[in-house]
Amino acid sequence: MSMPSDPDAVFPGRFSDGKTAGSVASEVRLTPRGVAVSLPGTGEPLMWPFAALGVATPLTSKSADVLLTSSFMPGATLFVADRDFVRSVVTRAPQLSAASFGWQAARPWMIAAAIVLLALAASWAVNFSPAKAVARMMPDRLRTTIGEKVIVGMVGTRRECREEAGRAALDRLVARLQSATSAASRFNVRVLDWSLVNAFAVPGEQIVLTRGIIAQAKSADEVAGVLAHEMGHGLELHPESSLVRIIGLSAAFELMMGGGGGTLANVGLLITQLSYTRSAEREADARALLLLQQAGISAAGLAAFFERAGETEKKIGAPDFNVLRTHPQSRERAEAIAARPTYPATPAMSPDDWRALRSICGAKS
Amino acid sequence: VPSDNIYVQPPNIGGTAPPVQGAGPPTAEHEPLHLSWSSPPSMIALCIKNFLLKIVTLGIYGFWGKTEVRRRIWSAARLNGEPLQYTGTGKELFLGFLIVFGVFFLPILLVGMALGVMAGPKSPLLGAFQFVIYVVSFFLIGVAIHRAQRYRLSRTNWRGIRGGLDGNSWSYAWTHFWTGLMIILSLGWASPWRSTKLQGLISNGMRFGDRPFRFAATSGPLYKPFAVLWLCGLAIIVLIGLTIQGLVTYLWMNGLVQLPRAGRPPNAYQMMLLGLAFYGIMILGFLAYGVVSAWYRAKMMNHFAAHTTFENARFIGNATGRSLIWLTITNALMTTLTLGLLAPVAQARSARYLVQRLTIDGSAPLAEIAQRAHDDLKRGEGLAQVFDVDAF
Repeated sequence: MSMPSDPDAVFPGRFSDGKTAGSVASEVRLTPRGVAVSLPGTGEPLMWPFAALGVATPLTSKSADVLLTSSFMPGATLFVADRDFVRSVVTRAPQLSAASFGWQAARPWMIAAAIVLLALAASWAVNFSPAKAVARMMPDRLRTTIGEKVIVGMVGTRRECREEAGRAALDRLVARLQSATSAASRFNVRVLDWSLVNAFAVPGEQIVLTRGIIAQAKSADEVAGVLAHEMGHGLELHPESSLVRIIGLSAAFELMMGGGGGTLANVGLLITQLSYTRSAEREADARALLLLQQAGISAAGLAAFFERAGETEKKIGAPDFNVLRTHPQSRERAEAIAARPTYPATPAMSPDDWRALRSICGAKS
Repeated sequence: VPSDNIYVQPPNIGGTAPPVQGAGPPTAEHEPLHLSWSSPPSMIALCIKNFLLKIVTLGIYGFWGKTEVRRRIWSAARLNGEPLQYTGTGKELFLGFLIVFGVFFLPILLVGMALGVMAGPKSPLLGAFQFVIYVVSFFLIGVAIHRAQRYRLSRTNWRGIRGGLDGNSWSYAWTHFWTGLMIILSLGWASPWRSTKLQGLISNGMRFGDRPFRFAATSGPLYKPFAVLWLCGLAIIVLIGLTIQGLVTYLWMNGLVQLPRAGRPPNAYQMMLLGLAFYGIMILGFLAYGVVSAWYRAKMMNHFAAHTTFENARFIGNATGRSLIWLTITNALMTTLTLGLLAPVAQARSARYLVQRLTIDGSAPLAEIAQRAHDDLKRGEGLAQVFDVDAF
């Protein structure tokens, strides 16, 4: 074995021409022009220039052998099992080293991925929600159909409350708030015979109130406040955006996980996406306050309702007061509402209407 | 290196050309074949690099990382001292995944969600859709296995000569599908027959250059070890059942737990302890089954190897249940405890096990074996990645 600096060093190699699976023993030399391969029984050695060399596996300082290829002789391979040869050839053909390998092939794709990520970050920074953009493109009919199906799933065996006087009173309140919106779409509000204290905005400008939330409210203004808040979600297309986001995130998650563990990821994502984000709640509140102001209804009802919800939140850990789970920062929001300037307001409903609304599900409430 | 060939061919003394088999020219030299393993260098460093890049690129580098790992593992396997060469690329894996994701996975996801929203989560339509998806997926797993093998073999070179896999992925998938149903119908007893059938489809389709591998095994010899496995499995299930029943009865008789009754909430702490106990018993059962099944898998591997030939060479498997269970447990621990960081090391260990436990007995007229046409497979393993059936 010779030192790598020795220009006359001869290394034993196995050469295959790539036409058959045979291989021949050969003498390999490192010359200034490239790797010279002398085959038995032939005169002039084959010359593989350094710049045209390739390897099966990138070379590291620990590589003990090398399988060389040459773009001058496609298919042919030269195997040299000699550390000194490996070290010498990598200094002359740096493209064979591990450092310049691997990453090189992936680079264009990584750059593309980085651009996509940057675009996402930028859109997030300017408060552009891709999910909302898609939601905006959904035709009204589709949004309404989806919303109706969601309601059907939610209702289950529960009854929709339609006592005539209560229904008429609710319609008047909805119309009053509706007139304050510039939106062409009409809100469709229903009350379910359900003891749960909650209100839901579902796709297609549809809102579901529970018997529980009406019973929990101390005044018509509080119901109006909750209703305005849910209308705010609807106007901001939050239910639609949530749906789009669930689908989009599941897809992206699958991509990242390399496709494995799909079902589990979906379940997890669905659970995390069931509530709105803090900023979505703030948007809905902002809309609600404008609606209440333009409809001439005091925002004190909204504030009072959430204040009470906040106190219940403190008193009992996980209450039946389900509204809290979807509206996590009741207290902070109630304070923000209370801090707003006052304006002339009239009660949201007449005493008769309020009484009628309270018995929309029949005599029991 | 054993140079005497006891199989098919008379002893090849002094390296003289043996009598010619088949149509090759009489001058072709038969070279004895032997497998060896040369540990791939710097695997830990590669693991760390891949892991970090995968995190930074949100998983996308994974396809290139996987390719790097395969390059090292392939070139660690030596046939007659010369390395195998992996020629696949990260781009092929990435595009393969993207396409399957786009044409298969995403539409299912979207249709499933749309159905769930439109028809409600309890609708029979959604149930029917899911059933169809399960059946189609079970069928496509067969396609995935065959295509992944084909991709890997077509990207495997030795002395510049490509490997390959002939045969139709869809017919393989069909066999995989209906024999899978037979397993259920036969309470598992179709398993050795099915494994042999499927291995035959793969092994008989395997090519090196223009030459085929041959596989001619019957499942008969596998039935004795399988009967042991099946009975052990049954015994383990019965034991798990009896242990859990005994535990509950004992605790209840001694007033340590109260069985939950209608109208009274169960004691959460007791329920948790009971749950943990059940899990513990189940895990012990799984481990016991794992040990017995490793023993069976080793028998199967040796049986299949013994009936696989290439030219004048046959394979001898030296797998043992003990070494296989050790490999399986250490690899599983290594992978899970490091959150997948050391998964490439585990893969290299599996490959080393395969190479070191396989002996080739015999020779092949290597100088006669000509190059194989390029496989027209442009992208790799999309389905296999979605179904997570790729081993390396």
